[in-house]
Amino acid sequence: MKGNKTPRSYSILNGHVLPADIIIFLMPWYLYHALKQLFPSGRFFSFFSCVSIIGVTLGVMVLLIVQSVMNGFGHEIRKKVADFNGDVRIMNGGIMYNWKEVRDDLESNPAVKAMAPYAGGVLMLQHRRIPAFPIVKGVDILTEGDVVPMRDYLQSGKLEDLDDDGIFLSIGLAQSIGAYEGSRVEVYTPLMLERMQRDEILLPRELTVRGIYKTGYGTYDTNTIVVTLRLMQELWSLGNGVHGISVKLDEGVDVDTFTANLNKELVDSPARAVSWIETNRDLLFILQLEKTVMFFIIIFIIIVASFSIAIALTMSVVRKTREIGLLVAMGARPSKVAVGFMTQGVVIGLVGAILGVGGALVALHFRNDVVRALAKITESEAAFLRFYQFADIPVYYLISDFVLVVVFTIILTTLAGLIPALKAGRLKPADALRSE
Amino acid sequence: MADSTSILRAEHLSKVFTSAAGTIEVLKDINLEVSQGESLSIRGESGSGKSTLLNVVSGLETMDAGTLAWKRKSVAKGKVGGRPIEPIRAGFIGFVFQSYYLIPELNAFENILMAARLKGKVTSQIEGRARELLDRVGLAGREKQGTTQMSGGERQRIALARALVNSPELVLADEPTGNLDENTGEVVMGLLLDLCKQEHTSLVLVTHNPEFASQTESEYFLHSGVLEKRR
Repeated sequence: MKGNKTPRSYSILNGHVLPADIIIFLMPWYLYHALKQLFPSGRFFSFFSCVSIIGVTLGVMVLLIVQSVMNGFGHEIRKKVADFNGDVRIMNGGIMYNWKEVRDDLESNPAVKAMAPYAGGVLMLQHRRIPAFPIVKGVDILTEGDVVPMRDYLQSGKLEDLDDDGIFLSIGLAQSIGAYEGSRVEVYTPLMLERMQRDEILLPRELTVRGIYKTGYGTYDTNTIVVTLRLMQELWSLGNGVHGISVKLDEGVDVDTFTANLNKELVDSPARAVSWIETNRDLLFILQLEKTVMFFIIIFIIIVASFSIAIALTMSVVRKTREIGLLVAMGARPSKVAVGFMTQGVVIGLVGAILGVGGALVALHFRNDVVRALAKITESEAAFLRFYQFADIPVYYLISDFVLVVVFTIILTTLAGLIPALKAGRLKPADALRSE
Repeated sequence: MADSTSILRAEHLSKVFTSAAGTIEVLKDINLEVSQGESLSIRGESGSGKSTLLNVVSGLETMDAGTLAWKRKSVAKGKVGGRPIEPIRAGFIGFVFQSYYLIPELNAFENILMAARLKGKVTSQIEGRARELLDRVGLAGREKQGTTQMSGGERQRIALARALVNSPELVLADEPTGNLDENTGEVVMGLLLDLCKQEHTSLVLVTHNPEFASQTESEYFLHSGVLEKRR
């Protein structure tokens, strides 16, 4: 380069220096060139970058919305299952007569919030000659409310109203047999059947419906009933025994760790602790499987968008062959030309992912309004509530999902830019300048 | 007259293109020397190898035989004196092409500064030089205009400013008026010759036009790959 030929000195952009201007001025040429290809001067967007970014944004949005709603449904179901059964159940596989000792031993454990004994089984129930075979749970009225939010579940009646002549019906069961608060139902236990086989006269126990409950979880709401523990002990001839103890843990206590530690303490006892996670392992596996399958189905939107980016960038390399030749002639290294084209893929992925995350958060914030509006338009509000059992669409945000989707998107769009980048980097400048 | 300092020397240079149809020797035993500040023109029929000669002496294309030196430093296999050719070429040579080759996504000013970006970073001094060149090619105040909205003559003037923004030692102009009408071509050619003279920059001009060729200090003619000095 020759000596100073500049007769006048100038400041950057005529003295009006903005931080963004400084960044642009100091930016390596290949990043600058890539950004200008996507966001040309005089226009905010190029058509190519606009369409590509929209494609990635939609993919990220749909993926995050579905994942968060799936998480929400899963979280709600997990919560309802854990709430109805307690976090941990201590059982010995039969009748537990020493349950008070076990309970007293556990009372000093700081992780335990509350405990309640229970007994369970299956019986036959009849109302107006309509039979049903629900799962029954006998509960201790004094302590059950501390472990299971029974008061919240009751649609009619009060927990304190449940006595040894009373019964709570799940809402689905009550509807199917036509019973309501105050109805009288007859129950037959397996013990009665044993007596019947010995030619004894079979007299059913008459109980009055003291309340109807709804947990929000279909399995429990269609075929369960609740009676007092004393009544269960009487009907099943349990004496002072129970079938187990439900344990409610403090917030933040790891259920699996607590259960494992408790089982170590119970090693010399016939009793064993089982967490709600272990009891519902199949359900939890299905929930996780559903989420994973949905992820792999919806990720195809981003894969398709990435292919579109790869095609568009390859077309751009072909269209700009002479421009690439010019850049090399003016001093660009072919490797930096390649980096420039790959940067376009990265920028599309990054901008698309950011907009997608933003769009997903906005859409999820207004999810109930959108669904209600859709349900209203299609006149399916009642069906929606009946079918999904949720008045609102549950959402649970997992940072790991957001990170996974964003990283996956940027990797895919970077790979989409890699193929055209390699093509651009391999062009010989003289051939590129000669090309038609 | 040109300085005696040689900035480009090509000796016994030859180039062969091989294809399925056979081999063609495009450049045959070319000897060419350009001194600092000298302007020379190369004329020849279409396909005589004029553009290939510019590509070879600028290092964009490899030669098959002969030697090439920029300021006495050997140019071979993508290296100049053992260093990568691209950054050295950015400061040493300015290009002007027949089809302008401006980047449509950049405005006029950004196109000029792109050459500086490729050489290194843009400084306020470089920005000042770009403005000055824009002024000298008669396009002051048109910095932010998109080049796609400009006429052919205006685009070529932007290309001239771009070629000179790094204050190169040598400008290689490949039929710079080929896409322009006669009057505009004369204006652009006048600008090119004046700017190179004012900047004391050497010029190798490839042209079909004998009148433009006569305005340079030396005239060469390329015929079937053989370079012959006419003046």
